[in-house]
Amino acid sequence: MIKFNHHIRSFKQAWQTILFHPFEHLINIVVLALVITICAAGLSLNNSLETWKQHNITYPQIMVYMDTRASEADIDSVQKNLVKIGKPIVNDFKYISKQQALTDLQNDSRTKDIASDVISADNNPLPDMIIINTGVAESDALSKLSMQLEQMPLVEKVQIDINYANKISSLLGFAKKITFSTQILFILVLSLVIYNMIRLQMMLKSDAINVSRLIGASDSFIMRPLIHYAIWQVTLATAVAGGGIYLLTTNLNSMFTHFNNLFGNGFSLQILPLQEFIILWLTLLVFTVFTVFLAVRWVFRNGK
Amino acid sequence: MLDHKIIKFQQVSKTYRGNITAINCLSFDVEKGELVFLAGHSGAGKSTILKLIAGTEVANSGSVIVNNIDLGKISQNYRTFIRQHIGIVFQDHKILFDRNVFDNVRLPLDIIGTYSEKEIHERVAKALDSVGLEHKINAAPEQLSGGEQQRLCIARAVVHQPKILLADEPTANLDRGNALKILELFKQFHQSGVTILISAHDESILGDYGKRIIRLSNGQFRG
Repeated sequence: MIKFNHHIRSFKQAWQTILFHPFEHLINIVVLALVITICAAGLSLNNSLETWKQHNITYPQIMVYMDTRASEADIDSVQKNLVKIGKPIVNDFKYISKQQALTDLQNDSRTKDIASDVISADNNPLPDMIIINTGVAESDALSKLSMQLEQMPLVEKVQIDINYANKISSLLGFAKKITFSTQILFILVLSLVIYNMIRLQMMLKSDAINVSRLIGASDSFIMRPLIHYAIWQVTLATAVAGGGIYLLTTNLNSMFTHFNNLFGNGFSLQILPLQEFIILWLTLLVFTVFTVFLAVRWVFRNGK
Repeated sequence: MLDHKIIKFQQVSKTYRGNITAINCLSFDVEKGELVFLAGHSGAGKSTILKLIAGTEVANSGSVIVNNIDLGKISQNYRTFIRQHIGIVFQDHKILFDRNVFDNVRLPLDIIGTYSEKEIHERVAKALDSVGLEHKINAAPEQLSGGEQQRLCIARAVVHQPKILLADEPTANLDRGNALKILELFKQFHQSGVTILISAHDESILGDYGKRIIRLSNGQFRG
């Protein structure tokens, strides 16, 4: 009950502080909103890249060539094993029988002469094969899968372009690292802005804080209004950032549509889903409370 | 056997940074409901004694026992909690100029946190009435005279009805007339059973009020 009373008073104090000096706090909110917008834009960009990647990046294929002696049962066994060990690397796979391969060869205008001269249905040297479409670019996982496939009975050869996988993997890894580092950087910037905001608030209210401590106020009594103040500033800034992101995304997407018409590569920015936006807001609140705690401790320790 | 001693100083010494001895091996007791004056020149150790009782300073040696709790043996947080139940009047008033008289006086009640808004209004009105400032409830502190500011500080110190009231030079910045009015207020609180310790460098003002005077010089008893 005591804590509830304190929270109610802190809530009122926070809003009084914000409403009685709206201009001063508007600047704070705009600065915080800018930083949050960049954080949220990073998340939005990440999501958009993921979607774009799924449609535009070709992941490496694995070709499994069966021994010519392999029976249908052997091929079935490989396919069953593939279903079992393939997750989450394998997106899908396709079995091409030696007869199908021959037919394809004979139907292809570029190869039909060779096919008719050298190969026939009675003398078909082509192997049965399975083409695996992967959904990842991590070369270690792909190498492991290809080794497992090689060890299966009557598998003649497994072919994969690891270099291509490496290139894709490092490119995607780089993009992810850049996005992640930028977000960490801006969360740190946000923490510093909040830290400074609280330090300034404490300096402005140093008399009240000192008197309160002298007449028995606990650290949490001092800290509570500051936590409410920071939480509401960050919440207002997050709401402003939400609006900003919406406008930014809508405007940029109309630009991208223009480019897409020119280059036809189908990229668009996604508006951050509400669920993710709420998670971002809650994460920021956790950082905010932690930062206020650190700022108050620092001011108490240094007596400033 | 009931212990009537609410404050006990046992061989207490306090030295500040730079090896400045504020009080040296002092022992004395204060009984419940007693009115005690600490008299002495500046630097005699009066304020240090009050700070040790309030728990804002901790003794280097010896024991300061308040309400049967040895303040040297408890945590800083607990000392802060104990301070919620002591009234303190500061020499420099320590009034908050960013709020009105009512909000200044309600501060200890907010810190304790158990009072409803109705109770807060009643208690603040009663405290202001007891110091004669009921008509200034909505005034800004800068509109008050020096004597009124000191009375505001006293109202804030007694609003939560503490058992112990500490006053550090409450009459120091006042003329004789205002100083006597302030002492009269303390006498009234004393008559209602509050234990009061008042420090004063000007002994002449104490007159009939000084039933028990602890005289200090350089951190030790004098006379």
